[in-house]
Amino acid sequence: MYEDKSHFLSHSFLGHSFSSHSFLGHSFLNHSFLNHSFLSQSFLNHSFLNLDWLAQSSGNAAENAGKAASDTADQTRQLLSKITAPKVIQALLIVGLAYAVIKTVDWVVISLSERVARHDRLRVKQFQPFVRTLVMTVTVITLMNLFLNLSRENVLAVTGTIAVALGFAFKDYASSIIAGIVGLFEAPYRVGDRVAIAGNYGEVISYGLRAIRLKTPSDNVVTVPHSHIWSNTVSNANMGELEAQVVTQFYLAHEANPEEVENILYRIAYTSKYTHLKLPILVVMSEHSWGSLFKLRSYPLDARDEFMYATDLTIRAKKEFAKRNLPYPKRFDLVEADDAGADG
Amino acid sequence: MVNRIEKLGKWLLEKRGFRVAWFAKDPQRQQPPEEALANMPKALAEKLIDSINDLPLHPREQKVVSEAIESAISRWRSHPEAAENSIVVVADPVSSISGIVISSLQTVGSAIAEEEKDSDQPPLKVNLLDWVERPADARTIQRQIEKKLDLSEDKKAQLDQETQSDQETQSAEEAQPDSRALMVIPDLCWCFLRSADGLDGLDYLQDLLPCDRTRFWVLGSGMVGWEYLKSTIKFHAYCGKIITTPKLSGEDLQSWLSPVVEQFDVYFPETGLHKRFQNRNHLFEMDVDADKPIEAISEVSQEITASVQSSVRSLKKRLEPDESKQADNSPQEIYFERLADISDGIAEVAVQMFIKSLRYCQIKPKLETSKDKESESEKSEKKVILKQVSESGSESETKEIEKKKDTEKEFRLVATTPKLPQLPELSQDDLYLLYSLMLHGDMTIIALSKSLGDSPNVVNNQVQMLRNVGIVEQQASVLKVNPVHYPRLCRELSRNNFIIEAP
Repeated sequence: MYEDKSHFLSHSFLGHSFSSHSFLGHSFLNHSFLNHSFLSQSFLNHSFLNLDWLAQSSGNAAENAGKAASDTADQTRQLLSKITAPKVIQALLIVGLAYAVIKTVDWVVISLSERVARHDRLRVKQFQPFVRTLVMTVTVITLMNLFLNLSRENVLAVTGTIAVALGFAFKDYASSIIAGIVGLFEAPYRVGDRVAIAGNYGEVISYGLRAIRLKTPSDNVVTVPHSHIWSNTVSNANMGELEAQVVTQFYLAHEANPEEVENILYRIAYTSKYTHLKLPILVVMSEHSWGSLFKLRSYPLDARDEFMYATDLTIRAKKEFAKRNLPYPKRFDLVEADDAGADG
Repeated sequence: MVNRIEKLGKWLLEKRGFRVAWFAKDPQRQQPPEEALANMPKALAEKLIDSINDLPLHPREQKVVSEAIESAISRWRSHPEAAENSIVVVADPVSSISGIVISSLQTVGSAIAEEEKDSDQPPLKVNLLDWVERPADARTIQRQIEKKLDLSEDKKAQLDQETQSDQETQSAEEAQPDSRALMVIPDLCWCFLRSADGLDGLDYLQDLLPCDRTRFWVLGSGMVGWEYLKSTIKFHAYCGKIITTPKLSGEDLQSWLSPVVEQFDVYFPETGLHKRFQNRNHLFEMDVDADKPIEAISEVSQEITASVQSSVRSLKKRLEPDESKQADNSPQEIYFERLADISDGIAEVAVQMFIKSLRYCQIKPKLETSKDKESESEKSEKKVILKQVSESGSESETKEIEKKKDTEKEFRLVATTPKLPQLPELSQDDLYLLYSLMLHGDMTIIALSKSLGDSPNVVNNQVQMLRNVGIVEQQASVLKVNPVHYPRLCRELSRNNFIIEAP
């Protein structure tokens, strides 16, 4: 009896206080009603000592609020009572099916993108995140409909509950998912792009609901949450295009004939099997206290070969430098090592 | 001049087989056309190979090239300072550009000799770069070009000329006609290798070409190599007229291959759907392997396309009362139209597709509709060759043939629908290698490894894999892309950013 009374009073208090916040009020009510008897007790004491006037003056309102709370509790009980073993099995099947569809789509998109002309590779890969998001959304809605019987009231109640839960517990997760959806349209990176993000550089091999996966040159797979794009920079080397410029640096002493070096570098680029000859090749030079810095800017046929390409250019250029006795800077002259990349 | 060119032409032909000889003598692997030959009696296959090898250069190709060379030389001889002093002949990399240039020059040589007689002009000195392959060491190319073309002194003179421009220009304008020479480089692709120092020979030629007006240069080049030189060292900026060998039509191919068709009495069956349904054997002549689904799909789709095209033409024929157009719809015409279509009008590809489509099989007499008009005597004359072939075969073969004596008369060479083979699965590294081969025309493993910047062992492994799938041919140490794969490979490379013009 005491227990019942305390519950009733706590409900009346809470119902009154949150009457204007139906979503949160209801959910919070449910929560208190079911679990927090100690809280009710404190409210009970409080009511007996100080709030008799409240119960008397707003008796009708409290009665209504209590009724509403009771209804919500009943609804929750009903919802929970609907979680039956067949439904759980059905849900597992749906999840399994969604997983299979996602994996199949991944396989189809990836294998298709590797077979089509290289120009179309990245375009085909862009289907992957969209299809994944679509499948996941449909799956979640189906599951919610299965368990929560998505009537208008239920949707409101569930949305409110989720909002609170996300607000407190899954803030970062929600942020990443929202960033992922924004990213689909804003496209700071796409599957197949070569990006530098969160201190990692590599090819985007997967665009998930929460995060992307990068394959680094050392063959590690790094997972970076989408929420990173809210407040950090993303450096994208090819932005949906197949071509990504490779800058290869060569350090030579002041004595080296710049014209000769320039000719060698152009020749090296023109004769590399990796070079994309339809795109411009450029040699730029800058002077430093320790010597001359030459930068060979060119594009590989396939952006995936960028490291192999840079290696090929470096090896063959060094052979030519050695053949022509072109001098390298002396170590004791290297006083500007860190600012080498600052001048384009 | 004519003698010198003829001599080189004969020597080239002895040194290099240009058509079937190339692959038919491949001792290790059977390439697609070889498979077709392997299914024929040995003597017949050999006879067929000989006949194909005896085919001359296509007259249309030769005519276009020789006319262009002749008119360019005439213009230059009339106005050496004003007219362009070079011509470049560009052909597909699977065609023998050196053969085309030499053969065309033989025709041009006769015409020029006639002209010289009439005008009392001194004979034109001819300097030929008589290579049949790239020098083993690419660094020596420049030196060898100088030596072979007698240019070592001229380079110095040219450098002097640059310093004394006005006076020297005047002297060049007044150069004596007897000091003029025709310089011939049958294949420019043998003059370079895609490596850091492999382009020095072309740098040298690039300096020489525009300055020396006393020489006329005839340069041959593969299409892929030419595109590469255009985009890298801008070689075309230093050259005069550039002509490309013409694409051959179905009619061109038919007239060119007619000696072989007639000699072997090749039978061209109707490929229209209505005809196929009349004869079940022809309906299922497709070579489909369930283990290779992509190849099977390609085979079936090409067969269906050919059948539908044939049916449409047949329908048109019925609706078209004009008799002159009816002649264009014979199975043979349809066959060669399709052959020209799938081979992109390249003679080298077409001839191999032709061999690939041949089957030595038994056909029902009632199908010989196209031969109904022929007299019995004509038929027997044509079959003499097949009998002779049987007689010249080995004893065991002869016995075998004798056993089938009753049915022998019904065995004939049948030309099935020509089909392009499906490209095998190719990795990015394979594409690099194949592009390199097409860039240089043909090359050794060592040269290929230098061009790719990889070690010879790695390249050799890759080459052997590609030979297994039939896309690369190897004769002795020389490698080449199999022409039957050329049209599709060309498109594949073009779609993947390589500098190559898709046919």
